[in-house]
Amino acid sequence: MTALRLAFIGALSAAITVVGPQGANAEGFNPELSVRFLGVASLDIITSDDSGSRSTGVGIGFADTGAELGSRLQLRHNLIAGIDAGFQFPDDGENQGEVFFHLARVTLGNQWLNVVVGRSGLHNNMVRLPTLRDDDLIQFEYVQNPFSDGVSTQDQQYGNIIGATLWYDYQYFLDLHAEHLLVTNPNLASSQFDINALGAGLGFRRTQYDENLHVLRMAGVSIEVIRVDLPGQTWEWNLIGGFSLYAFPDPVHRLLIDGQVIFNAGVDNASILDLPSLAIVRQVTSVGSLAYVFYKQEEPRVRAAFAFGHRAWFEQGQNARQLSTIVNAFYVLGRGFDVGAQYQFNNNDIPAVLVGPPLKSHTVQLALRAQFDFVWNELPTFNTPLNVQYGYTPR
Amino acid sequence: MSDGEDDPDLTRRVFLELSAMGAAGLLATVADGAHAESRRGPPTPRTPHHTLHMGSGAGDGELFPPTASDWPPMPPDAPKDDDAYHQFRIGVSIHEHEMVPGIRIHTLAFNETVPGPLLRVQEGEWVKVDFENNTTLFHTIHWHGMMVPYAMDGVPLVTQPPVAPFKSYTYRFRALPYGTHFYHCHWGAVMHIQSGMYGGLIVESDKDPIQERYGYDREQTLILSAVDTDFVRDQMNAMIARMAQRMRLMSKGRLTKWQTTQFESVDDLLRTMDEGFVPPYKRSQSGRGDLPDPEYFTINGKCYPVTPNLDIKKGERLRVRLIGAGMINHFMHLHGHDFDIVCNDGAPLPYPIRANTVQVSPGKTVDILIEGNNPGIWVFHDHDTRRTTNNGNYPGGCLTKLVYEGFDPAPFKPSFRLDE
Repeated sequence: MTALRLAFIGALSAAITVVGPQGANAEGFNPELSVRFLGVASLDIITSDDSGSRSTGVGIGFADTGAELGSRLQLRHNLIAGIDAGFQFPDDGENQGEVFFHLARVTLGNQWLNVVVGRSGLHNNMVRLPTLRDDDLIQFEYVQNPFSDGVSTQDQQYGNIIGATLWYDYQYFLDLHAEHLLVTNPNLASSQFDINALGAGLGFRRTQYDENLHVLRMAGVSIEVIRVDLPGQTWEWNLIGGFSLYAFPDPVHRLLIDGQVIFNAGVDNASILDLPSLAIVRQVTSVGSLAYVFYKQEEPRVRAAFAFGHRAWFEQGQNARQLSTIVNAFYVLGRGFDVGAQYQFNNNDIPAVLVGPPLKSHTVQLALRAQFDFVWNELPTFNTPLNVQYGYTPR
Repeated sequence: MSDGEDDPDLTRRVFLELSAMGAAGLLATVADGAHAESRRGPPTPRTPHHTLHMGSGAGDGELFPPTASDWPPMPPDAPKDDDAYHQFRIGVSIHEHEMVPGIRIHTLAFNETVPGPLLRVQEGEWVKVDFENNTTLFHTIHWHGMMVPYAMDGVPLVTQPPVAPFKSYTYRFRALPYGTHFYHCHWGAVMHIQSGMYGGLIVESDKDPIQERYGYDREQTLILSAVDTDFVRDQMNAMIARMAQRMRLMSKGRLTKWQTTQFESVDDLLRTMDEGFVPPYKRSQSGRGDLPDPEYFTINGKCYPVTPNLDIKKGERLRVRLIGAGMINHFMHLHGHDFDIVCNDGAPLPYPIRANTVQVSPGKTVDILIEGNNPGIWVFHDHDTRRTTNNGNYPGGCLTKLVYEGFDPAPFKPSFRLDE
């Protein structure tokens, strides 16, 4: 963790240096500077039903609250380099300390290539679900990290990555990456520098400015192989397929349908013994969501969503299942600020030997959610309407 | 209130006309383009109206098709016969423009040039301009300084509806008064003019008062402007994205004031604010907001060192027409010479004013006469020297040279040694 903190501080220092009077600015090359604040705060009421034993708890959650700082600079050959650093507060009970540094990366790219190196979001999922927090269905949404302690969520979403994404016609992408999945299982040797996963993805993602004017928003497939180094088996492989589409393209009533399936071939003869073992038993994970956003005066006014996740393990002689459903609704009080509520039901039909999630739980959350962004000296993004329709200009 | 229950209003009618527009028509219009064309005498059979009025889909009855006999209205004393006009065709499209080597931006360009074509007409003649909008944005043309009939002034929602995407409008007016004038878009003027929608309009006279009083051997027109490239890019991208959404609603006849944030009156605005709308000018409580802060300063769309030179010979007199098409003041200063200011906003002054620096404000035109009496190569530049830069780097921007032809001895060529 000390190394991570140092990396974060280093990235921050680098960002400050390039905008400081002795940095690139002094030469007339002005970098873009962006700041993003994310806040999710909720009053949580959780009722658990564990083999007939019911309990209810009330708590205040602020997980996923954090900030991101970014800077980009135009280089020769129409390249743009970027530095991003960010932190967030992890969920209660996770083994990530008080603060988790989820971003510490350098990027380099142009209109057809984007390279990322450092701590970043993992490239092993296709969809973003319309849940209060982005890890509410984490166990269904990402390829499960076999090096996780099974409790943390950040180690399922973020890792150390070197990746390149090739873009064709701003919409078709080929992604190649190598990753270090974070090791949080205390029984495993940990090193920040192992490459323990490789992956490739292929797909279509429509440019954002007109995505809701077409049915298909995104579709893609990818493969992720993870070096588990277990006796008799070195690699575990996963296939991921996902899509996102608008039920009927409309600027006012936006109805978005997302879905994703992950097939995890698992490790031969693996059994469900404890929480970490849930990641290496052969399984199929699926998620889906139906999200409605009502726009008024060209701004979102109301959001409502239904989402589910389902996970089925195929262990020899003993199957297990996990199901989670979510319903939420938010009223948009202003740009980037929502107030609303979410209900989540979890049903864990997994062997009772596990010391882990309760059999069933109901969670009601009354929440405030905010995302405020500000950008100074904004450099162009590559897939703007002008660049896509009228020819690319770097400036 | 539900979709489409508003009373049909002007904005909606403008939007609804797109419902009659087919994809084939769209493509045809884009491919057709519009090129600089000035015609005297018989018009060609082709008119832009026929290519731009598309289909007969639902909503035609609510539109104001360009072929309608009552719109645009004919000025009361305008000739019926096209032969009686000096005719132009001007189209606007999104075009990639290089202001200075290495700095390319997307512009809204009249006839694919920045500035738009220089229009020259004779004082008193009737002028007909077929204006084609080949973009997904709204536009008009305002004839700055011209005494045009009311409906030809080009002010959207005041004198005319805006010209909708892929539609056209015909302007007819008499070329009055004499002098140096210009034209520009009057819709979203902060962005549209800055991004290239301006051009010179010269009203000539057989009895040119400047020629008669002072005489001059040649003339040149310099149109001054300034560009905040980030502002132009961001605004154009935002508008293109927003118009893509609006056009989807237009095609279904569902775009109403309730869904957009464009208002025809203060009452409209206040009513919508009561419904929860927060005006954009209240969103940003700090910072510079959305006003442009230009970093490139142009003469005829170019920055130094690719600005056009002023050419002169010893003994000649050069008339320079200066047009302030942009949003900032320019203080044009000529080295090595005084000059005579002879026209203000096109109108001849009763007597010349001797000066070596002249202010060219936004919207103003100034004509000066330069005597070719001091051979050499002399800079002519904005003396607010912040504007003689390209993104902060000197020399650049609003700077050009008065160059004597055949200047002898050979001009100084800059050179330096690294060990100096």
